[in-house]
Amino acid sequence: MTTPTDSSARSVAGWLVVAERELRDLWVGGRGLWLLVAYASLLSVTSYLTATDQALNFLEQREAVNVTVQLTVAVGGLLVLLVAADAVSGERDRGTLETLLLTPVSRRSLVVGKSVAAMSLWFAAFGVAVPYLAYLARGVDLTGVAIVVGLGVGTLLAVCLAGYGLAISCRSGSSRFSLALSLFGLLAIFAPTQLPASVQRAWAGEWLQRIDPITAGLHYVSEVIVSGRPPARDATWLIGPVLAAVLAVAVALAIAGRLALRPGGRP
Amino acid sequence: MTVMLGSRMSVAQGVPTLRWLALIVLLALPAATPLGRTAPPARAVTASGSALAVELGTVTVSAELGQRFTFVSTIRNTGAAASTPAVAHLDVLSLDPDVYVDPEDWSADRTQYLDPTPAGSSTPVSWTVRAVNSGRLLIYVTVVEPELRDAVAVSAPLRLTVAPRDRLAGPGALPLAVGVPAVLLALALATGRRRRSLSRAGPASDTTTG
Repeated sequence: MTTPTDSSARSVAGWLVVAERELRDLWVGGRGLWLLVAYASLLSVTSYLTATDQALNFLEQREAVNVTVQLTVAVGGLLVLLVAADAVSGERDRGTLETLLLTPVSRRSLVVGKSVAAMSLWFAAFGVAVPYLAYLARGVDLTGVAIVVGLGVGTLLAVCLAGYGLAISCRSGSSRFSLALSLFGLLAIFAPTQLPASVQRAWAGEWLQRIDPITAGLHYVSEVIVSGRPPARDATWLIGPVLAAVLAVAVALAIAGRLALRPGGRP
Repeated sequence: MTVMLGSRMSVAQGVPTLRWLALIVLLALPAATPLGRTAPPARAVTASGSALAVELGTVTVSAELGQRFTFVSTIRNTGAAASTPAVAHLDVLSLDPDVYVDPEDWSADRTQYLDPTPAGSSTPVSWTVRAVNSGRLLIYVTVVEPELRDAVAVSAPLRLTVAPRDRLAGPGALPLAVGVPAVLLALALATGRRRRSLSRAGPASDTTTG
């Protein structure tokens, strides 16, 4: 008979084993590095064009740093979502889910281990962005602020997107459907950023931006980097991203507990 | 003829006096009549129809790019009656035609609404700006009394010199832009090569999946 201590220890060991396997698959297998090559190329183009603008005034330098941070958060989040959305539905497509479910690892540990691999992409993407941020921000003394704010807000959004992608992946019958639904959801979350400024300034528009974790997080980053406001002053804008991250993780774990060989089947 | 001669001799005798008198009148004329406009006060211009004058407490400022500074403008009522409600507005321009200045970047609060100023008194108006462009610039304040037509008072300019910072386009831009993707590409290629060599070695030594 297993004791609760034995179960929890096995559970802890289980997600570590899954995480190690997934990390090896992602990084040693090469997928992660190729994604980073494409991402770094994008950052290089935008950063070089920004850096060589001879007429850049002071505020536009701050905006250049802000754009780089927002690009890092957006693309890093996208990479996390792509990996998370393929995490379980991809196993179904490849026919390896059954083998995985037969291992002495709880379903929740399985999903937690896969989320670790997805999150590793975010941290790697941010690590790649640090030299660009340091270079762009050195003229306006923003390096530390940009790195701390970008890492904090980006991690919140990455956790939210990882939970969202994993939840969809657990319930999707195929990887294609999971990716499509995940990307559609990502576009919907980004949509409020495209609202006209007059709508964004209205009370309904502001509330929509505060509820949406992406717009709230990016707004906070802009206020700190471009406007130079103290980080604590606009901290209420982070309520949305924090709640969204907590909710996404809770939903993903709840769905993971009922993970079945076929979506909707008995666990 | 005698009369005529007499008249001529009378006129001839009075001509020098008349000439001196004309000369005196011509010399005194400019002083007596306002032929030139009175020069305005060195730091204030009062518009016609308005008794308000705008003065800046500071004439020149030197700053660094990105530096915030505050200066005060004084709205003085030079008239005998209280002014009407006024609107003060701040503007910035560059003396370098190649520098584009967006005043919104300098200050988000460039318009202030003022209560009527009593006769003979003054109202201080404080402005805080951030120097977001480098070079030589001018800052000035205008005051409008909307209830008075064509009444715009403008201050003398505050002459601002903003020292530039080091430009971003140092020698590090291109190496960074090329180097980071190149390093990642080399890592990706090396990892792929290792994976292929392990695959050729046999399934027992292949520890990667997918």
